[in-house]
Amino acid sequence: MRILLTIAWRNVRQQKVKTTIIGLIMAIGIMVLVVGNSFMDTAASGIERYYIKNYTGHLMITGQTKGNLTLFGFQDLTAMERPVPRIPDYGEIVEFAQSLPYVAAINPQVSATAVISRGDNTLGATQLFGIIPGQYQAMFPDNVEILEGRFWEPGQQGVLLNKAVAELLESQLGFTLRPGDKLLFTSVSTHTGMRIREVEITGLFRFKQSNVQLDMVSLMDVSNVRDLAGMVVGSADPAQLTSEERQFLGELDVESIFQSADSLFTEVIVEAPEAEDDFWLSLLEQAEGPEASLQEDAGAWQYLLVRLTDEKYLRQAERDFADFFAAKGIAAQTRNWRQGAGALAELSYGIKSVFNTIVFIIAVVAVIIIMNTLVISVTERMSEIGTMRAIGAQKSFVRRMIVLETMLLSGISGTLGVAAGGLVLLVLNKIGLKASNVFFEIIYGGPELRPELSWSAVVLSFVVIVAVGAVSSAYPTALVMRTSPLKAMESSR
Amino acid sequence: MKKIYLLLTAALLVLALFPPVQAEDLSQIRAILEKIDAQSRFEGTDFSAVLTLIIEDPEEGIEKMVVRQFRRDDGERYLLLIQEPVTQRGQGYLLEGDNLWFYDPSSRQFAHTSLKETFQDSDVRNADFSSTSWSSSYEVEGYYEGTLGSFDVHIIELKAVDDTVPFPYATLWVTKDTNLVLKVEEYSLTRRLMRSALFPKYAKVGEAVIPVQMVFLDELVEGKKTQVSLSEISVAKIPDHVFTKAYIERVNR
Repeated sequence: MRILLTIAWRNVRQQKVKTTIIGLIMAIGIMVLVVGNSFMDTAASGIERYYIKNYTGHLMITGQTKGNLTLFGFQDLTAMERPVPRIPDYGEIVEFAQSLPYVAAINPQVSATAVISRGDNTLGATQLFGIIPGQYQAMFPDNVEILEGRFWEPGQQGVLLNKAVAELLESQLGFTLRPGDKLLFTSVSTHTGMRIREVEITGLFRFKQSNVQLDMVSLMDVSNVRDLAGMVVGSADPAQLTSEERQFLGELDVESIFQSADSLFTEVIVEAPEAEDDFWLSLLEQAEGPEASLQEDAGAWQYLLVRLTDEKYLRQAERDFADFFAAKGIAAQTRNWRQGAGALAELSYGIKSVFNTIVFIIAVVAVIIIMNTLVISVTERMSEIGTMRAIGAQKSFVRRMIVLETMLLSGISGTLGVAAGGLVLLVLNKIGLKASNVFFEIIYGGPELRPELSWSAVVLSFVVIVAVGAVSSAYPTALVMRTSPLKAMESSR
Repeated sequence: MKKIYLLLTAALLVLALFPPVQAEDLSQIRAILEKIDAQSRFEGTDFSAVLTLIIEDPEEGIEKMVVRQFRRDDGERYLLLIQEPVTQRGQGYLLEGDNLWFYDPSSRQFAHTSLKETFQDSDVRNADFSSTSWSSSYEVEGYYEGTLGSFDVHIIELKAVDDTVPFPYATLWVTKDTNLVLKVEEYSLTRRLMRSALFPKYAKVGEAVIPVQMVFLDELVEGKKTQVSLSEISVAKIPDHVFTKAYIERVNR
């Protein structure tokens, strides 16, 4: 082995130009892998930290439902057609969550999308998070920066308007919105139709760590958001129908509806005029007034966000909650932060996959170039190998020599590549990469990225370089072994 | 050569069976549309009724809504007051010419909405509560004859002249003898069928002939439909103050 190593090392040193070229190609390839993967790993963990810390928590508990439910509501084709379910047995779930030692904080939320108007002017739209200020700030202590005004007082109503939304509205209004101004919020709920709320701005804020999706979010008292989301008592009353009203339920056969020509016309009783004032003012009078039935469904929440003391408890928390729901027969479920964060987090991961593919393609190209160079290098040494075989070197000896030579080269260039990659990352970390547009903000998971050397990227790079060495030496070795020593010696003439 | 003769013969046969729409036919079809519009209008009288909407959704189940409608076609006005379910009671829609306002009693606020929008969570559009305007809002694209059940009908293909109507394309099935619309299919810009409407029962109310039973089928969600039935119909004069914002606010007090 020692002899083999000496010969291999001598060969590597003797062919300085070839060694330098192949080594350089390998080192650059490894550097690209290390930098690319570290960059992506930092971005991924950045996105994760960014979302968990700033607005999703580690886990999101919702009512049981299918589909792509996020903190912004359903993000699929059914978004407008079905309401976000309430969390059943909310009190019990909260009690259980608080009993778990690894739960650091919980925060209940309700979500609604509303069009904002003032007077006759429709100004824009906003996503509303209905929250309890104290609990929200305890859950996400670092992310809300109040620029003007304050949160609404407990038991009162109000909206903390996102500065980005306010700027959009101001461009339409022509003046600056201030705390104390009132805005009309109109939502369309699938269950309760349109809803309008006039709400006073108590303050203006910005999310310190924001993105295009969060820039649309304003914070509002939960009572108003529940109303805008159609979460009122009695909205699920089943319809009691007469036989006539049931006539067209189920499947319809259009042809059979129009079978009888006689039934097309019907006699109707035309009512007498209503002259009394009482009639015109009593149209909505019923035993139960609308106020009683339009009461907000207090205690109804759509989301319960859970922050854990450490991310390592994530799996355990998911299991514990699932067991609890099953044991108690509660129709609720947990979703992880990525499902909660919505389309933007998914997009970040989608883009990451694209970049990984690009890095993989670069690695494949590097392997082909290295392999080609090695083939040329070995075939050029055909006569030398022939002579070695002629003076008694076994096939296995020659094969091991070439493999060792390649591995030696790969090892040295790999180490150099990792070192160079580490250096590049160190510089990038010091400088910091600013996201120049929304696209990069999505990839970075925030406005700035400071990439760090990822050890998984280093290990991956070494695995790749060993694989490259093994594959690259396999073909030229096989080529040499197929050639007889005599022919190999003749090739030098 | 034989093939060409065959093709020519086939083409002639097709032309004989389905003659292209002539200018003369088009003017007749336009006249039919004008008749349909004219008989759906209440000229010189007002109109009021109680509308019962049965909204069937395969996922959400069945919902019943009761809506009081007041309509004055002179001036294109209507007022819709939701009486049931209790969660929506007091919500109102007030049409004044081109302006449609929505009123929410819980906040006592009005907001602009559009005739093209759907009414609440039903398959009815806000425009469906007015008199029809087939002749002025659409131009005839095609016409042929056929049957629907036991009725001989004109089948009229229409294209909207502007974007004020909910759907840019529509096909009407109109009875030949009475000019009553039995069925309407409404299409998107890409000619995708969006909604079908059936009108199985009509009644003569004053000088107008109006559908008193309607079924609107959502063609995008299988099984989703809304049935509308009219009762407590009246053509008595409605006080002017009913068609005002102040009235909706007052009746909600």
